[in-house]
Amino acid sequence: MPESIWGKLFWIAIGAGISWLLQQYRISRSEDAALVNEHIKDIEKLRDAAQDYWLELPDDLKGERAASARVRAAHSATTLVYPQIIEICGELCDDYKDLSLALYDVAMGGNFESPRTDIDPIRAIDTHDAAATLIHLLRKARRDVLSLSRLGKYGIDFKS
Amino acid sequence: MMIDIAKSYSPYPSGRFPTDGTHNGQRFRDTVLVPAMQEALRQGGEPVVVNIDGVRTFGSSFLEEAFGGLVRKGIFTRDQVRSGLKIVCTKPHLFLFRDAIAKYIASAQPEERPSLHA
Repeated sequence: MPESIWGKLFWIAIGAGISWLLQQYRISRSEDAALVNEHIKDIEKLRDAAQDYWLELPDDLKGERAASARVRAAHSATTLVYPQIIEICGELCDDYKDLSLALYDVAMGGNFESPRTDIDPIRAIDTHDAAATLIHLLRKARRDVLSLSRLGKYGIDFKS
Repeated sequence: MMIDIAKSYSPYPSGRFPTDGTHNGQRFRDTVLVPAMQEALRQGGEPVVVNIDGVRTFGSSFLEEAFGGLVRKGIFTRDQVRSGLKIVCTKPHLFLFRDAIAKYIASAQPEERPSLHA
């Protein structure tokens, strides 16, 4: 019977190895999903700051500078994880880059940081749309992050 | 030739036009970027290297005016800008701005100049 015991031990070891690998995979994917969640929150903060900027007209130059600083700071938070999110997005990475640049363009483009005489509701709406589209893409990427089919495409990232 | 934006211009560049502040995009383009690129062209075409590492963040309006404006204002052709300018960036959080600069150069359309016969 020793052969059958060794055979069983062999399969137990194989099973334990596969379980460990799947566990590592799940941990690394969960961390990626958490990073995507945080990124979505940062984008929502940028959207809100940009909407305040384009829909409110400060009384003086100080107010104008404060409003633009809030947008710049909120945008700065979104750029910290730009390379990691590109990696996480996998096949959606080009869409992610395009939509991130579109949001940046609309939220901080045009006459951003220029003295204004009127609010810009169109740009505020466009900012909301760009943020919503980007967030939708990130939610799609987050679902993909947690799917097992991704394991076949990208393997297990032991670094994360 | 190397231009370090943070050191030779400002670590906090902002705004599009001179009315928007001292460190605006138009001023950077006209007083720093264009002379450097013209000089580089005269000296045989080595690209001007623009290092953006020391800057924390840019407004889109600044980058579009400074870099897209090179093509939009007809100062250089798109090909001249692509071959004569190299953006260097080693900090991952600035990669988005590097991508934005490439996009503004690629999508800038030269403005039509007023016709003398109009």
